[in-house]
Amino acid sequence: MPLKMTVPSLRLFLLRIIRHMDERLLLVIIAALVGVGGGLAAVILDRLLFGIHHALRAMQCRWYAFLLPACGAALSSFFLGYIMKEGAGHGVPEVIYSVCKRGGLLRLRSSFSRLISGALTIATGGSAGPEAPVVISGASVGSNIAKVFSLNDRQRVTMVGCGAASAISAIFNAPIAGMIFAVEVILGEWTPINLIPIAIASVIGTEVSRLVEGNHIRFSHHQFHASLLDIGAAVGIAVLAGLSSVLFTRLLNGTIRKSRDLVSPDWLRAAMGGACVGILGLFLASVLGEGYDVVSTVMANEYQSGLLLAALATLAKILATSITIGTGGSGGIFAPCLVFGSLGGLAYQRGLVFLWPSIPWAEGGFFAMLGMAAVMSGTLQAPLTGIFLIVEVTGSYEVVLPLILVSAVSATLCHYMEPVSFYYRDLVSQGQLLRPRTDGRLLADLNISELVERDCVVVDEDTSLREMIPVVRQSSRDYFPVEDSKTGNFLGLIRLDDIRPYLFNADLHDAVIMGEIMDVTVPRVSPFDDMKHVLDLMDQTHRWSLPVVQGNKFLGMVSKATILDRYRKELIVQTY
Amino acid sequence: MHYTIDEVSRLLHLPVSTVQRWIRQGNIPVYKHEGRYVFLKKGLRRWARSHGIVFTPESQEAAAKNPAGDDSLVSAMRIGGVLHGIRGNDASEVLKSVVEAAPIDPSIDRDALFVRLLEREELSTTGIGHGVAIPHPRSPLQDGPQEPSITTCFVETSVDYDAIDAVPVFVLFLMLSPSPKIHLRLLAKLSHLLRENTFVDFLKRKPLADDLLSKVDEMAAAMDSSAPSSRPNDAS
Amino acid sequence: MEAQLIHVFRNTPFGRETLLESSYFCKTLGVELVVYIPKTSKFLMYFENDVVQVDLDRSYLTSPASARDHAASIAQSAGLEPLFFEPKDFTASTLPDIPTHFDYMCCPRSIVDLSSKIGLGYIGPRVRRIVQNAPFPVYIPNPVFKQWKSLAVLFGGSANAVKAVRLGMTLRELSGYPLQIFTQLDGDDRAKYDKVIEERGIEEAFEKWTVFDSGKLKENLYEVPHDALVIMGAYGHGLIRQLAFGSKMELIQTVLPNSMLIVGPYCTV
Repeated sequence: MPLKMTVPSLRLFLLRIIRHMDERLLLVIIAALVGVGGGLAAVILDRLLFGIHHALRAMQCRWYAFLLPACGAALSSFFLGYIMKEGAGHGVPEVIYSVCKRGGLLRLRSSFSRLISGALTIATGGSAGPEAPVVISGASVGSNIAKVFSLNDRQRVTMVGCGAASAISAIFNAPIAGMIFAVEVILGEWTPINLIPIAIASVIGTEVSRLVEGNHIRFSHHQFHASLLDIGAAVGIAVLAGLSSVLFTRLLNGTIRKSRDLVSPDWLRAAMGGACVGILGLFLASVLGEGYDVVSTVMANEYQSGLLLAALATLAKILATSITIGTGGSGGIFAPCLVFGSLGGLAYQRGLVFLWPSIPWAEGGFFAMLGMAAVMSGTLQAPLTGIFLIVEVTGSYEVVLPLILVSAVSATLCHYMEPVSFYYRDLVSQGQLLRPRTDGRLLADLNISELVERDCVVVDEDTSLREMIPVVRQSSRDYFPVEDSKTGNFLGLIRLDDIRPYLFNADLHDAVIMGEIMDVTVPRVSPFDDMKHVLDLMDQTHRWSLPVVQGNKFLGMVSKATILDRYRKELIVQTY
Repeated sequence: MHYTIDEVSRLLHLPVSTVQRWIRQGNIPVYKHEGRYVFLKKGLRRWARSHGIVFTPESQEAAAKNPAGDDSLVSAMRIGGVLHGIRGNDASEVLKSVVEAAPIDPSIDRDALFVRLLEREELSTTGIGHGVAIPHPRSPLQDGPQEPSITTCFVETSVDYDAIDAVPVFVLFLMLSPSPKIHLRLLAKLSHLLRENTFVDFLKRKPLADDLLSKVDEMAAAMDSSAPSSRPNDAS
Repeated sequence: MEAQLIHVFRNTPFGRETLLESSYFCKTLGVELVVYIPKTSKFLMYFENDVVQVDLDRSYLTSPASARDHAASIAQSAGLEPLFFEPKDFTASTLPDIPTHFDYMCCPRSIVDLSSKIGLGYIGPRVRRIVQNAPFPVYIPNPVFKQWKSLAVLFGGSANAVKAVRLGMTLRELSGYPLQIFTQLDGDDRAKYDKVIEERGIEEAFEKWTVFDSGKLKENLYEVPHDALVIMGAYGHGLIRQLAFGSKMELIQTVLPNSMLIVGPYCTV
């Protein structure tokens, strides 16, 4: 083997090895690389948050501290909009859109731009979490590593899932939650092909973060002891948490919509939002930043507050997060959910103690934990992610039973009230949430240009009925398009059914010409039309075939029968 | 060993663009060989089987599309031959003589053939008028002929055939075809010829094999050149 | 199916020249003109293996009210009825997706530039990425409208160059204009080129073949007619080649003001 290899020939060498490798082994190796990348993204963001927070500590006690979130959010928005030209959205919906519709293609800039903007927003006090930035970074790393290896859509999507899984695993030190989040929320499906790569990426991502940050449970606490009564009361938490999740989702969506109309330059809007949060933070410090310290305090039963304060803090956090994210701050909703979930749980426990002081209720920490699980499951409408995340970040498997209960109840309750979770809202409204093997996805994958049947015999306007007879004899279809002989433009359609009764009537043979009996009202379809639109058109007009016309030229017919045949083939091929 | 994209799209009855899209999406197992996409035959068959996709390998498909057999009238008549002096007092006897004398492939059971011919006559007479009959088996024979044949049989004395126009039949064309499709094509050509009075008169003279075949050849060629044409859709 | 060319319209006098170029291209070759009037300063194009973000200059969003009428009248002056493209898919609310099923795309020398950079020799990085990924040839027009009356293919012997020759042959059929081929040997053996030509069966394009066996490419390019549409294959391989600014495509861009049609590695001709 030559000692010196130039870059291009090294790439060719690699590609040759890849070509001969088993696909599954290849995916495992690439997944490991992606795992490292996702883990590093999480570590970098963590370090950035720590660093900026540390640098600003001195200013936190001054009177102008409320301006810090404003500056941070404005800088973040400016950075994202003008320097990176990202066209920012929240981040996670973009990843899902790419997975559903674009075979997992993500821009390279997304792998680091959100880390910086997220750090700016959160470390200065903005009420958001580091997960969304880290998810889109990890996903983009996965997508771009897949690009280097020229993977196909299916494999690239798996790598995006790996990136997201490793990122979440790393930032929470929670590998199972990372895997389940990737599958439940991002990819939307478990398949044999993506199980192992995602597992590997999660494990490696977690390892990377443990290497740098050490292995410790974020919200550790002493063991909880819960009686049956506590578990019974947990149902109440599920309901309350469900309601607060719905409140949060609606407030968030509303803020996003309304604030855009109110203030125009993005950075100004973000600055004002930051200022509001800063002012809130002056009164209730727990609303600032990602809030993990608040959660730790609550879990360790050291949060000194009664019912009223806890409830107020819960609502304040919901408000602050909606403002931060709604006005364009860069950050995720996981951490805030954990915060107001725990605060809400604490408030609930205080309430229980207030109402029934004689019963030995479990400590606040227990209900806080349930609150977190319920809010996570409800807001994301992803109960499994909620359960496993809480188990892993609190290390308390012993209370998994009530955890399961509240997660399930909350997720279901939220689903009834808000059928679509925050991540999916925009996608669903545009019809872009296209999971594999769903009707929408199959119809989106099929396109008209692949289904056009071009074996129709074309006739002129002035073709008489007599001249149609040999045409009918020779053709194998029931439709005859009529074209203008001078321009070649499509004019209308003749159906065999319409002329059949008259073909054998000799009296009419010279008296009827195609131009006068053709159907001009037949709706035309273009080769770039939506398949769903075409099928709807067929249903509305009760037709089984429609002409495909581009720029006035007839290309062929598209028929429901062919659509069914291809639909089924498409479904088969997308199934494992 | 390998299939190319074009071959695969033909086998799956799909346009090339669909197969290309499946390659891009990772839905079909494919390899790159010398810069082109190729499919390993074994791998593809395994994939098709596991997904329940039907595809017919080339040989079967070709056979299904082009059933063996030339549909030229002259060659069918040449294979079938020309017989003179067939005897019989009625349709059934004449048919029996025809079946015995005709140069039929030995693999075909003559008795079964005779029965089938009678079955067909029972359904409706094959005496199509002007003294001509076109007996043929009711349905394609099992172990039927590989190639179509038309045996021209001139009867010694015209028989009452219960024909459409009640004219006694003087010539029979025994038609054996490998498939109904070919039978129809040959029948169409033959009846077109029989519409010409000159041809019927020619037949009444009970011509010998060579004369008959060259006459048919001549008239068939004239027929082909005057066939109508129309514009297929050629936007591509 | 009729071929389509997508043109991103800039509602300024410079943009008018470019649209006139595209219209002439479409009219001459019977291609349908599709005009995209941008409402946001960015858009995404998702190719088979890459997603390219195009950040447009502010000038692309000038006077949106008059843009459509201006574009329509420019196209009509060339005898064309343009189709206007409205994006249907969005990656984010300010980030529309432009589909990539077109047959040609018109990219000015730099989509991102200030008018001063429209000068020669500068191919914006976005345009380069589009060429590298696009399944269609990229049309880079002359900054000022000029009708081309012949086709000139720069043939370097690579796979992309062969595609360029094939494209030239097709365009010759469609336009009726004559085709000429130019090759700079640079020390190579002419037999190598003959072999490639024979293997690919493209001899009939080489009726008028000018081979430069001496002199610098920069100087020899003077032989290319001033009113020719230049067709060439882009580099398609090698990470290093792409970074080095000495690559041939950049050089030719510096020397020739002609409109160009560039065939990239993913083009299907």
